[in-house]
Amino acid sequence: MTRWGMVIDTDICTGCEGCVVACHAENNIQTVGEEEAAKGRAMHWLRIERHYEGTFPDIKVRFVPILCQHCGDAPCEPVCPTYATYRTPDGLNAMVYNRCIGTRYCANNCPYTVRFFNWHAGDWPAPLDRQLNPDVNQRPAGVMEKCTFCVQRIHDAQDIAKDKGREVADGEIQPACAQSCPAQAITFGDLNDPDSRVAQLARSDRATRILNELGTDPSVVYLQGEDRGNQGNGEHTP
Amino acid sequence: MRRRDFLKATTLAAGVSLLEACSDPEGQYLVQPARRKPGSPLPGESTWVPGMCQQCSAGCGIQVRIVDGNARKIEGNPNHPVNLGGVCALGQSALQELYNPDRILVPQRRIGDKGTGTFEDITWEDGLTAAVTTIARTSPDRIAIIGADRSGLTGALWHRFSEALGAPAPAFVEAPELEVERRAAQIVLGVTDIPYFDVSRSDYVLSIGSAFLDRWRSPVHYTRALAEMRRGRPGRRGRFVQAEARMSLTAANADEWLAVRPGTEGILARTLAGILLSSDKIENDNAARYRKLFPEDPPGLEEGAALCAIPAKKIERIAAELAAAENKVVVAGGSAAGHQDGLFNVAASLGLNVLLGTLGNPGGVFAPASFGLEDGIAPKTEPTSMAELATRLRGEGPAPVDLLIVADADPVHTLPASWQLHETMVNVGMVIVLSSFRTDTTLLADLVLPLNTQLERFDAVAPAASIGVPVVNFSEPSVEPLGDARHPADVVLAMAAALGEPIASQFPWASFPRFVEARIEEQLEQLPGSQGMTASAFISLAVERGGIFGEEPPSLVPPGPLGSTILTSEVTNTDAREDSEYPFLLLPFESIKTGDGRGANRPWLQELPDPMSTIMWNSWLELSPVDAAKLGIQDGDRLSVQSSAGSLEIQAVIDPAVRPGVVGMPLGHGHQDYGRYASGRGANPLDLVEQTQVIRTAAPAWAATRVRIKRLSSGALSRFGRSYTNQEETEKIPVGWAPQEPSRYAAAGPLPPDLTHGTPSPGTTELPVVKRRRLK
Amino acid sequence: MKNRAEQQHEISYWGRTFFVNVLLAGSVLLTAACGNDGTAPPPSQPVAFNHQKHIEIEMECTSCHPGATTQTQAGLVPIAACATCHRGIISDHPEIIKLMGYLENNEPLLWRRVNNIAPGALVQFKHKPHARAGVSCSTCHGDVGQMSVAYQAVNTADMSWCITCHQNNGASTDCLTCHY
Repeated sequence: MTRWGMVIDTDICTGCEGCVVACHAENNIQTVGEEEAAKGRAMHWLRIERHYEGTFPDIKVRFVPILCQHCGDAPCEPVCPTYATYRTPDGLNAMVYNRCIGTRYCANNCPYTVRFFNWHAGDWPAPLDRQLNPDVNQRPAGVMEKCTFCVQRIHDAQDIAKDKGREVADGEIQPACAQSCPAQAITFGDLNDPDSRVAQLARSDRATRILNELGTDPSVVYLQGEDRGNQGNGEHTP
Repeated sequence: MRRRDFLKATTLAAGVSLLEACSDPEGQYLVQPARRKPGSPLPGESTWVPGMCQQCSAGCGIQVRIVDGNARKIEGNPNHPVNLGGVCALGQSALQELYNPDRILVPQRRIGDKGTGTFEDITWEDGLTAAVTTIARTSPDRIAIIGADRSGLTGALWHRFSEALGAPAPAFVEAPELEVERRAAQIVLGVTDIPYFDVSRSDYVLSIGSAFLDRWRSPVHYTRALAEMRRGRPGRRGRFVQAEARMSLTAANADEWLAVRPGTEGILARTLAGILLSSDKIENDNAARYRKLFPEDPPGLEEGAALCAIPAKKIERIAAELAAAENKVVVAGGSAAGHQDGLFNVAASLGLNVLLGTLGNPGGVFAPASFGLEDGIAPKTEPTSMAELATRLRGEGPAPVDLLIVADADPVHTLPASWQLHETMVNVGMVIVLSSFRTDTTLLADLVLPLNTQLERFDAVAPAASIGVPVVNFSEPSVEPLGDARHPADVVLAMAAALGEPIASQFPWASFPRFVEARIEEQLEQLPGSQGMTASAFISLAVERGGIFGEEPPSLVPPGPLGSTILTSEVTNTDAREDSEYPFLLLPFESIKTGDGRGANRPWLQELPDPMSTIMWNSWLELSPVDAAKLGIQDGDRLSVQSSAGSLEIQAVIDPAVRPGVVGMPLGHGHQDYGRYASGRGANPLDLVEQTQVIRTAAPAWAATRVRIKRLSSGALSRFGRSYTNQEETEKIPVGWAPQEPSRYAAAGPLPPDLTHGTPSPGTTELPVVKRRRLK
Repeated sequence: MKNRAEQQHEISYWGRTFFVNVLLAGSVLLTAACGNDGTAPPPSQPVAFNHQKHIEIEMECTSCHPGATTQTQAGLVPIAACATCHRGIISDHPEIIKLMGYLENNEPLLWRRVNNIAPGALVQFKHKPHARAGVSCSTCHGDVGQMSVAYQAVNTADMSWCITCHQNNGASTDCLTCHY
């Protein structure tokens, strides 16, 4: 059985946020404006977390792209009163907008804070609305939303494959973030296929998952980078 | 929740959603066109159209997804050598440039006072007539032209136009460090444009000042190159060291950041050279060439370390690593070029390449390559510098300016306010601005001629930032044009035709596409892949591919220092002066979000958190925690910042990576008139920058201004994450990792050299790339 | 004393019925002003096209709706396609004259959508997989051959029509198949 997953190499991610804009463009994510953003309501399904360590001049910085981890044992799923979010057989954490009644308990429970609530319906003053992706529904006010691993692209690839009477090939599905990344730091595919690129990268020595100690079993694997930054004493180990 | 309330709420929600559906016109109608071209896509069908990105000078190749005649998504072209399928935030936001609600779609004529930006719609006929009559009756020495593209075909046409008129050569608005970098490259490497640094094949990259992952030159290309350098070769990970005064995104991604004292980048380079020269690792002829360029003795290690504020042991180690690396390169430019000593800084840094013998070697530095399509179009004269043009506008030149044409540029916003462009342009008799949007420059226009945007254009543009192989991008319009806007080159050709003889005969092309075809025809034999094709067939092929590319990897070897221009350092304007009236050094920087400022009118980019500060919808002043504590400033406080040239108000960000005594501020904000998303938002650090120039050039020393800061009141910023000064701070990162845990990297210890253990490395292109195509 | 499960079941059943009824009532009230979802009378069209007459002469659905089996949307051929026949056939009929007027002025014809999935359903419906699975057009669009004025045959304000067919034919009933 397919398990969709992703590997993100944080050693080559530069934090340029090309993926963040790609996600907005692909998924019709609204911009909430300055006031709402100040209240913490900006909806970046994928964000780049920038972590500082140390004091000047020995500062280390790490960039970590965080998106919905499509957890195998997601904390957001059991708390939804209307079963609007659940795990699909092929490993996606599904969000069904019209079941959602907006209790926001799922966002409360998510340890990665990757769920976003539509406090208002999106506003795209003409002609900005001409850019909207017809393959993704615009969410009304009052529902939760989050990364879907570009399910519209997964379905698209499966549709083409079915036409041709074959399976989806590895690498054929690229979510918007993976496709746009200038460094090609994001890889997507079937974690359960041992020959797929994601599965091979996930077996790397550098592989780790975030907050797995909470028991979430995320589908996103991060490849750690080298230790960056200064060593104040002038030494460094190559 | 009680059942009754639940039902009430859901009914309301259902009703609201149905009402919203009512306002969706696309859902109500099924549009049947009168005619459809055979082979054109069906309703709802996706097609992918190749194109080129023009949001910066890098010239990435893109593909645009079109559904029902509208552009929905921009992706990279995986076959294009500049970006290899990647695309940055600014590039993707070109969709919001195309569909921006604040575009100018018809020509405008001023009706209010100059500076109020009140216009009325007119026709192109009226607009062109007004322009042409003014040109015809103005004395040529009183005409000034400002363009945006120095080396492209359009820029060449403007240059040719001004020569045909007998007017002085045009000036081109470009990133201010470019002039310095070009000059340094000319002196040190003997090349006429900025070289290419082969990062991807390097084992050691020392970058001095050049923030090549931010907005310098070709960020997507260099991001991919860095990825290849790190993880593209199994078992071989290159090391990247950034020497920069502030922690840019590039410095944050470096394996090591040398927090060099601002302005002393050249001293650092010379100190490194001194260590290398006294080692036995340098070849004799390289040392000799270097010494011809820099005959003076380099500073001693202790002296150099003290001047540039890097510990001596560190400098020694970097020199040793440089010498020991197999393939190495020293990249130079960026903020190092913005000081009064900028030319020396960049030249000294580039000089390390001569010393280390990286010229033309894999992983080293290569000469820029181009097909030279513009040859023979523009006259051989040098363009005017913007500084000189500003002088003319102030009335200090040989003749006053009675007619100013500004084509596709926003000099009022992107040049220092101390150059007084705003004040002097008010006095110019006729200002004609060609622009897609209202800008700070159109505020002063008498006539605005609308330009089409990237996705509506046929264009042929050579990327200004060379990637070591010659590239010319070709694109056709991806969508039907939105209004009645035109390509700037078409405007030149129309004006030339309307001016009649003797000017018209110098522009014998009916339109810009015809002009490009004529150029291609002349050079057809030299262009790869053109055998046996007509010019127009070749252009169609080029459009399909995204452009014409050289087939070989970078191979042009820079000749190296030719003349004997001797450069010495004149260390000025560092942050060492603490008793001045202006205690802080101001470092403006280009943000990935706004670029040269054009990105500010796009909601995606305004809401995009800045990668380092995570600020949205605003600009900020970044201060070190030490300075903030001294001045009693908290995060988000409103400040008044003053220099000898101007003042502004801004909010503070306390950033642990800022050097005490230095403050940073992003460019690209503080527009007066740039649409609903950008106007009046943030502040422009160029309001503070003094008129100082980089020594021996005409470029502004934009990193040489000192300021003083006063706290006004408390405030809050729209921020997506948090900054914190050290791990003991009580502010927790709201999500993800808990900062109090020891760093997992510290616990891991040094990693073994072969990190991938034979697994396929990211960054290689073995796997099939998704080719979106029509669903059959 | 009912146990928790029975209580939940009770609320769920009544709540759902009431909810659906209110939704239907609401959609009836609102469809007069906007999109049709299959429970209101068909919208009036700019040109009085008669499906019955065209199907009587055994035209295929895909002759005019080219995407019905291969695309997401069924779509429409351009007016120029209508002209290939109607240049000659009943070319003096007032509706045909009206139609050809659009063609001469190169003006697009704005048909009012007849078949719509209620926008509040937040569904992504694609024709191609259904055609590929062998679902005939009339299964969902009704006996179009009897329609002189086109109307939506299926109520899409609730998903019972869709989900029943999916359940009976072994198609995916996973929510994410259609709702995303």
